[in-house]
Amino acid sequence: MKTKTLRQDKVNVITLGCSKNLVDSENIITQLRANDYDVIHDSNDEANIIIVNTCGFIDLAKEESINTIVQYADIKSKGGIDKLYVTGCLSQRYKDDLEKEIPEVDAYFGTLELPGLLAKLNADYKYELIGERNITTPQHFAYMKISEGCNRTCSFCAIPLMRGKHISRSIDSLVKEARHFASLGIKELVLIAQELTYYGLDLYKKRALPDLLDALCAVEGIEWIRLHYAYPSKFPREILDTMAIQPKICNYLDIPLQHASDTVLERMRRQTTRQEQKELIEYARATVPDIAIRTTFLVGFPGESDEEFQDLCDFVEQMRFDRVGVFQYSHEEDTTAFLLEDDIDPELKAERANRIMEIQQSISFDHNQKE
Amino acid sequence: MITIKKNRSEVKVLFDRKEGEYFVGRTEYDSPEVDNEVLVAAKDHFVRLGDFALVEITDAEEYDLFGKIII
Repeated sequence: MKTKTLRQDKVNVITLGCSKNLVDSENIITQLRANDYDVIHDSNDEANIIIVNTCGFIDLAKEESINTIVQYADIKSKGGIDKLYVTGCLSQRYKDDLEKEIPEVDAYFGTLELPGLLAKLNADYKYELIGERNITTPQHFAYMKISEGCNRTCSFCAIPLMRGKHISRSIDSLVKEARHFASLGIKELVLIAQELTYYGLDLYKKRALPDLLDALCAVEGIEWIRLHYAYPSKFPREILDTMAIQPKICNYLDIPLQHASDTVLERMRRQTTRQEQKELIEYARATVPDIAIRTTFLVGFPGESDEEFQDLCDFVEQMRFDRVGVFQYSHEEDTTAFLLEDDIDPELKAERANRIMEIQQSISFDHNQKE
Repeated sequence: MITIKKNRSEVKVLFDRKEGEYFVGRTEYDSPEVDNEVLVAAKDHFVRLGDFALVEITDAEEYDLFGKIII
């Protein structure tokens, strides 16, 4: 007679940072559950094994990740948990430093080291599970990460250091995952990547997002498909044509522009100009008349003068975006902007961020009144 | 290519959660966690979470819309 050994172990996966990291956590959870582990996510319930999936994006995010690791390291040294593992972007970027500074952690892993993490827990990496992710979001929408990494060379951005070069997932594997999600009752897919518009360049030698979208739209049960993080430079405009034709694709586009002053865009190495950005937004609105456009801006970049910042304010007023987010510049080592002087006072950065949000607030209010 | 300008006073809403006295959902113009939400009073209507419903917008603040369910 076969007897099944019941594990006493319970794993709590803590996710910090963005939705892309959340997808990685969902993959960890799926693999562990397939190996008979009892797994909880971001929970306050007791568990004897903790996995912290960190973020290393900017200073504030790094601080939150470090505080979380230290908090569990303390609990571990008091005997409250048995094992503590750290993975994700911060761990990828600062593994050596972290091993020295917080040695209570049993092991640190990089962003592409899931099999290694599983091996520590005597769990097998099961390739057949790709496309069968357990989701942590409400039961009716799921994030789908269509590619990993980024080949762009924006001067301020540390993400390529942590996530590596751009690698697309195949259309077949994504459609399989979408079908699985639809069978669970999921109605909305939120497509994410570091950069959506590069999709397919590695696998199919062309920008293949429109092909992927057509394939996903054919999946029965999926009613909404939403696009996040499309860069403006060399933007493949066919995406907008597909959006206009396919009713399942939400008339929504998240297109981070970062700035609107030509000189700042150049220092940021964005490979685009204010005028090109303006034309792209106008083209999007002409092609999909009711499109909602979300963007994010970065204020306080090295050398950002009053005049350059005013250019950005004017642009925000003029373009009347539907949704706007603002980041304050964070000086990140090993990026090319790190060679510049981080010369904008933190108070001025905050003031500029507030100024953009004030401008946008009155625009948002107008938009909503029209609805 | 056919593009029909939607009448934005009637919007299709996907309901994400119940919070206090409201069902909270989103239109296609809003992404989870970062964008605006549509609130419908739970005392007036019942919706199943994860269902779509057609909502008439009755009031608006900077970031949230209030409405009632039509279908």
